[in-house]
Amino acid sequence: MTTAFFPYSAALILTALLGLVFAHQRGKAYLMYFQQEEYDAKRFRHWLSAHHGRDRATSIFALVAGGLCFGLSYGFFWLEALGWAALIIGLLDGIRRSRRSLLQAKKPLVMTDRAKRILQLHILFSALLTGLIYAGVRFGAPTSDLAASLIAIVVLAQASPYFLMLANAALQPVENRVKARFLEEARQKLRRLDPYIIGITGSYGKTSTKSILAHILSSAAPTLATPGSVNTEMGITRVVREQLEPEHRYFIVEMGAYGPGSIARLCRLAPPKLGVITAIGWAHYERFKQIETVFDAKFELADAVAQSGGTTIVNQDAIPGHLLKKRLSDGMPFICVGSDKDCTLRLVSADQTPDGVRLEIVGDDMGEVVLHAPLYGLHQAHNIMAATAAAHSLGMPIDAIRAALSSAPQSRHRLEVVRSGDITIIDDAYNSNPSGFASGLELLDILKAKDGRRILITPGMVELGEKHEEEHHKLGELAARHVDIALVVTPERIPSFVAAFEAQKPSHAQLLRFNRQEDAQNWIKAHAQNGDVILYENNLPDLYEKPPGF
Amino acid sequence: MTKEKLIIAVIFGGRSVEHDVSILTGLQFLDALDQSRYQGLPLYVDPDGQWWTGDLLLKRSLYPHSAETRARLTPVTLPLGTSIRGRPHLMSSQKGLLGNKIITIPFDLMVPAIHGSNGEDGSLQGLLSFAGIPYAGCRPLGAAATMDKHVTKEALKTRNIPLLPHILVEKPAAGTFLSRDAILPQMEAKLGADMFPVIVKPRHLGSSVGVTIARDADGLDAALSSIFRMDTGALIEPLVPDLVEYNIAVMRKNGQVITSAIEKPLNGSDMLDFNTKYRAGSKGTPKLDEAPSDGMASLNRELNPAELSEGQDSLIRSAASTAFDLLDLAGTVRIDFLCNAKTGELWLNEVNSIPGSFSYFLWQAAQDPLTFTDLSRTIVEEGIALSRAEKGETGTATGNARIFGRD
Repeated sequence: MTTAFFPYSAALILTALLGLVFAHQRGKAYLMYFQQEEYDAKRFRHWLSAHHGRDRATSIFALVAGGLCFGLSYGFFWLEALGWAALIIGLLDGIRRSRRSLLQAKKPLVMTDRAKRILQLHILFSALLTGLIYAGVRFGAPTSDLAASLIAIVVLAQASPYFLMLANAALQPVENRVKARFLEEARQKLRRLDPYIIGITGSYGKTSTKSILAHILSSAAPTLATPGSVNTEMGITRVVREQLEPEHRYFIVEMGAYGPGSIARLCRLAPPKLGVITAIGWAHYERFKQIETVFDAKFELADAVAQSGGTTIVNQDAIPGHLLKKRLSDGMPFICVGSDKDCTLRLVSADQTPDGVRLEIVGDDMGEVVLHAPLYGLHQAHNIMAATAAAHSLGMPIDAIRAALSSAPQSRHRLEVVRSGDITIIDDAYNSNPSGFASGLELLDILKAKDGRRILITPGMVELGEKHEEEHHKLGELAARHVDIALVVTPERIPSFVAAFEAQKPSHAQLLRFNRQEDAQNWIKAHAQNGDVILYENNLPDLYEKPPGF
Repeated sequence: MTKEKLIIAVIFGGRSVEHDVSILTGLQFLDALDQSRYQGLPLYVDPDGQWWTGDLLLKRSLYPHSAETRARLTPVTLPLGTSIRGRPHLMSSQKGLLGNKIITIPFDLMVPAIHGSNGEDGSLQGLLSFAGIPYAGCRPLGAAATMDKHVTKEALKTRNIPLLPHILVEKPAAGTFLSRDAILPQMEAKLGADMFPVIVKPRHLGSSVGVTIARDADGLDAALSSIFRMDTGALIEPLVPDLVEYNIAVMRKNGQVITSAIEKPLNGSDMLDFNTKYRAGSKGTPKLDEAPSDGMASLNRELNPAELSEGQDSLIRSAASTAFDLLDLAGTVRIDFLCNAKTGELWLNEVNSIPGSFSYFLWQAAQDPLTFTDLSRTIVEEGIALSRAEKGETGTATGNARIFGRD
């Protein structure tokens, strides 16, 4: 039964138009998140489920309100009118939600050519699907336009993110051509500007070492470093194309190993004259299976550096000795830093002070030196040493290096100490391993003011696998020695931590349980006192990521 | 018939480390304007250098602006090639139904309320002078000279104004390094063998940014290394023991140079650590203390401190007035002095040509008190008079400079 008189045709046209606007705006909103996930379908799907990204409001509006009225509309034409109204309101609301999420974004959508192409294809898909639904509903099972609209809206709202992924996959050949062109442009620009390129890799410590080295070198001459953890071919290409300027004398490139040959490829893009290898460990074990493979993949950097006649700095303490020894005996130019007496730069002692890390080092050509950097965590000692050795090998006097280190910037959310009035915050939100957790706990003692309390706020660690109970038990015991008040979020997830803490804690200490991070946060807001030191372990101090609310 | 109100554009924000303080200064000035005579026009320069106008700028809580707020502001530019007979105006291009359309927003006088580089340093003033746009406050010379602490001190030396000795260190060229062996002998010559601790400060930056105490040669290296990331020069001065500071504001009213109340900032507020201040409120870090800073006005201070002797009081006033005159300053400037509390010795420290909050609290407490509204009116009227005088006669006929024949 179709009602064909004028107002409903008007409603249909209005709904179709609004549907188009909705598809466009919602596609754009999803595209923003898709872009943040670097157009990676797997990561985007994870975002969708982990952050409640799928549409609820518009679909429910359409289903419940529209469906109800549709069901009742046989014989009651005014109910059908109500159904149309519900659809239109639902669409308007959906458009509003999409726009809100676009406007309130901390990292707004950047309408690159690629983004435009994906969005255009997304709209084409939306239009095609809508057309199919109308055709199907009309010819297959003759019923009203309202039903078709209703189905189309729900399908559009649910399919929007998948259309983006589909569009992205379909556009892959185009992207590959564009990528190849960008890569060639970056290569040419590097040849033309010819900055001194320093490559850094390692299973861990490379990002910190990079930022320390960038800080030291930039006190001597304009320096560019790849930002954050950008370490892929396309990431580096983009930095070269967008940020590298003629005045940059040094260009520090973090290189990620994504399998054998990947670092060699990065070295062909940006041929380094100096290399830094911070550690060979098990971080990428699944990708490589064997520690030898990890070693060889990382040392592709040293090979490339040696080819251009340069030197590679290696952290001897974090590289398996038997593998390194063979390389060293090959006669390749290396500078070793570490605790061993053979090292060119030797660590004599490293201490954690309230003002940061203090280390005593001895260098073959610099004598005994005391370095101090306002960074926290003793693991920084090796990062500082590697950066110092690199800067020194470039001709920077040790006095200038020491001066620059005294203002080295902390890394965000990694044992980052922030003083807010008389309250000290240790923000270790990005940490995900038990040894980092332990460093944070030890730091509580060092940063505590005389009358202050040591407060821990944590949901525990994740992804520890079969070691979950055991590691949390150890951490609970350690926390009992370092913490006065433990705020545990979702305590039922880490019973061994709770039990160990309760069993070992001194009588004054207490453990508070919270179901949500937000509640623990509110407790802090209400109860923090001057002199307190608060450790945020493996969670963010503020609620960063709200669900988009579609 | 009522006379049309003058439109006063107050420019604030700016590409400067003192961006945030400047927003407060600008908004306070707009708020203080005499509404019966003037109409305020907020003009905000964001940290990227883009200029904006719009009523939403008056809302303090909206800073830093979200994309949503930004969408409701108007991006503007300042055309420089306007005829001197024309009224100055801002320009904005807006999307209309028939392509882009240019709208103009006229004003009569611009009040620079930007602290620090790119605003207080004479660059903005020079630009406005060049374009023939009337503006308030110091002219380019005074603004530039007071921004450079080395030049300020060298100029004031000639007038018997007490000043601390200083050593100027210039940033080494890229790829070369400072040798402390070159600096230490200079310091010894000026400050004596027992020279530490010293104060190290950027040559140009305003406020307390980068000001550091160095207790030994290592500390000096560290301080210089940090300063040379922000500035091309640094000054090394002795650290005054038992330090107290006194600040005074100076301006010209009815042709006379007048001075304000004297303030003593409490608990070393001149050493305000900008780093912790900004970091504490930066994105993502926990904000336990959410009280908004009220700029300079909210700092702890003591007005007209009782311990100042008559001699000290008159030394401060006369030195400040002399500096104001010599450097050809205008608007309200704040001049800061250092004092050894034990010996009572005083030294002129620095001159701020656009002080925070225009130092209105010092004028409120002056012997002849001025309200912020009085102060803003004086600044506006002086600006109009100065700019009018500058326009002068520029025809080529004057002084027989005509080359091209005219009909």
